[in-house]
Amino acid sequence: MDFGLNETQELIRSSAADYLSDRSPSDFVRAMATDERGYTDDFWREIGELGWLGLIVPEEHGGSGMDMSDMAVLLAEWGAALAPGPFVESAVVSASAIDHFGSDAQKQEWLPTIAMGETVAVPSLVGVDGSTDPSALGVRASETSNGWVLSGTSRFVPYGNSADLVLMPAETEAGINVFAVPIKSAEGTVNINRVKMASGAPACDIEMNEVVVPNAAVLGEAGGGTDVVDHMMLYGAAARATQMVGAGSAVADRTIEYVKDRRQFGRPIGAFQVIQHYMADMATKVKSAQHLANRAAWALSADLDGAMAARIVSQAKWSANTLMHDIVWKAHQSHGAIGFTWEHDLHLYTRRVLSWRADFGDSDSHIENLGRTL
Amino acid sequence: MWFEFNEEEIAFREELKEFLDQELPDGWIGPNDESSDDGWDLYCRMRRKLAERGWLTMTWPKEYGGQEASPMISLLFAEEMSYRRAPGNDRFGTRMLGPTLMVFGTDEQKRKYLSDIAQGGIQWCQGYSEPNTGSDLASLQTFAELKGDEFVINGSKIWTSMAHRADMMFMLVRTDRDAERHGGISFLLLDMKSPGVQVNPIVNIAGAHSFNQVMFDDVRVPLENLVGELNDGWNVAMNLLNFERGNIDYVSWAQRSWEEIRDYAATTRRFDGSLMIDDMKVRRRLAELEAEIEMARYITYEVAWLQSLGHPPSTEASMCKIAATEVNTAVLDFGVELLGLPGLIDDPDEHEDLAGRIFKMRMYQTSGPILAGTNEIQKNIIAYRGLELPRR
Ligand SMILES: Cc1cc2nc3c(=O)[nH]c(=O)nc-3n(C[C@H](O)[C@H](O)[C@H](O)COP(=O)(O)OP(=O)(O)OC[C@H]3O[C@@H](n4cnc5c(N)ncnc54)[C@H](O)[C@@H]3O)c2cc1C
Repeated sequence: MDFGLNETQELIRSSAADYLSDRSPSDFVRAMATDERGYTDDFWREIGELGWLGLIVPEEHGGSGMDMSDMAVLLAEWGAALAPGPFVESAVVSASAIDHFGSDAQKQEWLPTIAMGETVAVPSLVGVDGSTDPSALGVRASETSNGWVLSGTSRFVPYGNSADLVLMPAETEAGINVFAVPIKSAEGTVNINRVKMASGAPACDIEMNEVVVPNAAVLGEAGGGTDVVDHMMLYGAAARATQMVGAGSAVADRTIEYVKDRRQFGRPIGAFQVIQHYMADMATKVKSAQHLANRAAWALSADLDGAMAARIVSQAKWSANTLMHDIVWKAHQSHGAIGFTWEHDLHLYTRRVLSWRADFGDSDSHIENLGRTL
Repeated sequence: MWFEFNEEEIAFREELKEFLDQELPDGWIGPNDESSDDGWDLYCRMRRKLAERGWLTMTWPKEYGGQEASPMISLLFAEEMSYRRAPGNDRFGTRMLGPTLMVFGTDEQKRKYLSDIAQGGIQWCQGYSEPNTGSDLASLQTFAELKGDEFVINGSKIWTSMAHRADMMFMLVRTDRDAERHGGISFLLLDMKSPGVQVNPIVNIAGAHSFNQVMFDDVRVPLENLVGELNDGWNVAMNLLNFERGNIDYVSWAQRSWEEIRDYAATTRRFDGSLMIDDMKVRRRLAELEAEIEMARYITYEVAWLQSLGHPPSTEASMCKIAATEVNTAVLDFGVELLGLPGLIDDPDEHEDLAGRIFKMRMYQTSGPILAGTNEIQKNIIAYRGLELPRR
């Protein structure tokens, strides 16, 4: 056992904290929440230059070849700063899926540019019914002489309006395929409609009509898309859990500061026992969820048995969902009216934490995963 | 024991339902943007029509134009209004200030304000909280200096709901800085158009402008606008709190949201073709929440029942505030989670669909456990006053 950060991780943590507090203050977070694309090219280029987008991309493909534990350290800071953009989607979920399942040609084509920030890749993992059931596919693909033809709707694709590459599961006659669709340059009709979401992050319904992609766009084995989807859900859930705990931890820190400062009845409200218990609860919940989230990231780096890793990740995402939810509402209650204002940053966290609960498996689906494999 | 409404009560509810069917816009599901002028127009129209029927003041004594309706009827009124999310049920004037003036007002004040309130022609707001004064109301600092036959007010009030729409404010000010903290407070009536009053909007976490900060810069208020004795405002205000107990609104809101969520689950198919509501987990949680709503509802009914017997409720009122506001947020939490990604849409253009507004509703209702005495303060009241637990 080792709960500490190694030297590299400590460096990642401190440089991420410094950079993000400077570059992603709440003004930026707020501006991006109403921005059409939800992040800026400059910001994306910069985090590419910092090596963050290629953190877990192998060195031979232009990345730093670090593992998910290292990534978790960065994600906690990313979450704490509410940094905008499809970081988990591109740098974790897509990068690891391409690395894991991609052909050499696919890796060479996509990984270096993902790492540099030139390619923004996002997965389509929301069910067509809006559930977090990724098997509820709305897209069908049929094979033709010159590749595959995709038609249908993919819903709530994160940052679908700025993505270059969408990892898109589709139903085929022989099972599910995941296609790497260069959505901006795809041949065929593509309609992208942005839905206004509570988190401010763009989510897009992508309608495709007879979009043609080559055979080389299939990620992994033909008909073996379920494995790719499972992999993306797993990495996404672990990453989102660490990001959520980062955000929850920032909420707890700020609330603890606030209750020391705010005075009523001639003393700081933090002197009231009920508030003290709220703060103690928050701190305990942050720590508890943090351990499970870090363990999940570790499980994906260590060579754990797949079923075991999946259980560990489900525990992490479920605990982040449940505990961070409690934390944001306790924080609102402890702030009183000031936390009910748009001007105060607390709701920026609330909106994102509640939204992230639905990503990469909601609480029910993770509990079901665990229940199935008791 | 008996758990039904009597005939008179049922008849009243039917009459009110018919009225609302007629007066509310077709397919009314509640205001989309409460800060809009359209929303305010509808509010004022409804307020006047409710006043015409005498409903806003039905609990008032006959001598002030009321009907001396029972607390139970009054509860039914609020229950149905909130269930329908109907605007116009002004409580600042009719439920808070009106009854206060009946007890503490001068004849002149009663003459001047009560009939206006009863006719639904005037909007009041409540100026209690200040930037440094929330739960600890008696610490308020906004100062009113008595100069001849005028007060001169300096300071500010905050979180003042509807101040931007209000004609008048009833407020607590400090009139004696040297007195013991409860002792130096007075209760004043202020014309919002007075020179030196500035209303600064505050947008809430649901994105609506519903409350404000109000600044006072040498604002002059005539002495005749003092309610009760000078420096006896605390007593006046505490008495006012006794009129405004019971939180049936939150129970009704919870009920309505619960029904919307149930209906959504009963009509929405999952990918595998099954209805959401066929999922035992969903059914179970809906059933639990239904029971929780009923628990909150019956504590609230008990408050009205106690009042109808002439017993002022004490801890029951605190209990129902907690139960009602908590179940209300729990219902919405469940809904947001159940709907999945569609439950995270936040778009005024999608207001018609539950999916497009449930998140906003959840954000809005965050205020329930905070305002009108936080739930923590309510628990203190139950523990100290009700259960007589030692303070230290
Ligand atoms: C939507 C909304 C509308 C409002 N409208 C009005 C209005 O029209 N007019 C008006 O005057 N005010 C209004 N208010 C203000 C409201 O009355 C205050 O928010 C409330 O009194 C709490 O005060 P506060 O927000 O300053 O919180 P604080 O008093 O600072 O409380 C912060 C936290 O400390 C806790 N706390 C404080 N004291 C104690 C204690 N002794 N023991 C245990 N815990 C304690 C509280 O429970 C809370 O969790 C409104 C508020 C909201 C949110």
